[in-house]
Amino acid sequence: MEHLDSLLKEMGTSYQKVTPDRNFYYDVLKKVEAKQAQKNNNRIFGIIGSILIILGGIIFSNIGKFVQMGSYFSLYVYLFYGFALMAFIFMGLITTQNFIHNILGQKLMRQINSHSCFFTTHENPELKKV
Amino acid sequence: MMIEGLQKGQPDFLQELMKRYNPLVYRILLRFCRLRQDLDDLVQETWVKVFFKIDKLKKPESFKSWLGNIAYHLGIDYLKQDKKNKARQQNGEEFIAQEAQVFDKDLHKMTYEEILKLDNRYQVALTLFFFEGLSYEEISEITDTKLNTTKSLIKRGKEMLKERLEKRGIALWNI
Repeated sequence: MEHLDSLLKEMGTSYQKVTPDRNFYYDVLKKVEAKQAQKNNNRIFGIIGSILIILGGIIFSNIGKFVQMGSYFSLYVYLFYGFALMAFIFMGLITTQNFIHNILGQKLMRQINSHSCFFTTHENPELKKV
Repeated sequence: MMIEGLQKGQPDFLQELMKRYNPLVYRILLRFCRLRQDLDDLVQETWVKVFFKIDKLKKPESFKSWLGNIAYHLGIDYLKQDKKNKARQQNGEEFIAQEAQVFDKDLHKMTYEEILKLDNRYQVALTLFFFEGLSYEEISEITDTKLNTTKSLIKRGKEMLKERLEKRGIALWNI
């Protein structure tokens, strides 16, 4: 009379041969990249949304002052808001350079960053080939 | 080493981990899903989750149970999803019968057929314990059950299996 435990353990040795018949790694990698891109998109929408909300908040909180537009005081107030917003966007872009690089993709970033300098190529025709 | 590498966001280590542990993931999910396409999706989803959640793993030594837990819960969610999956499985659409072929002896094949007829909870507990050689503690972590519950699931599973085998005219077993 055989022991059930030993039978099951014996079966386990054969069962270890059950393995997936293909490599899932590249499919998983694609899905990981797609999910990361989706996360980045969500992040950029979040940033744009935040900027719009802040901008909307500033405009709506000062809507009454539009009437006074043109006066000495309001001009400085709006210049200040304008600079603050530009600084905010500028800081955001600087701190998220890698993030933008990921979103736009390497090829597009290369196109944006590559400058064909006239003087360099004019003096050295070999560079044109590159 | 591999786990720490993956925690730093290096996907190369994912490949190494998959080489080592993917058969376990595959076999756990096979308890819940027997359709080729769905099973492939579940396996992939498990590893995608591993990639994004690896930061939360505090004890690298318990990676195996942690991974099994992810696969197990994806399997449970798959079963809960809808009746469509069950209907497709019953129709035998692209049915995977690969694992039955690994058994050479008729006795093993019959025993395995009877295991497949058990409730999922017993199937998982028995296969993880006897086929994968995991400890009670590891199975408890994978299935999110108490240690005593795991022990009783295995004990009860064996009893039910014995009854089923006896009904098929196979000799009495010591348990």
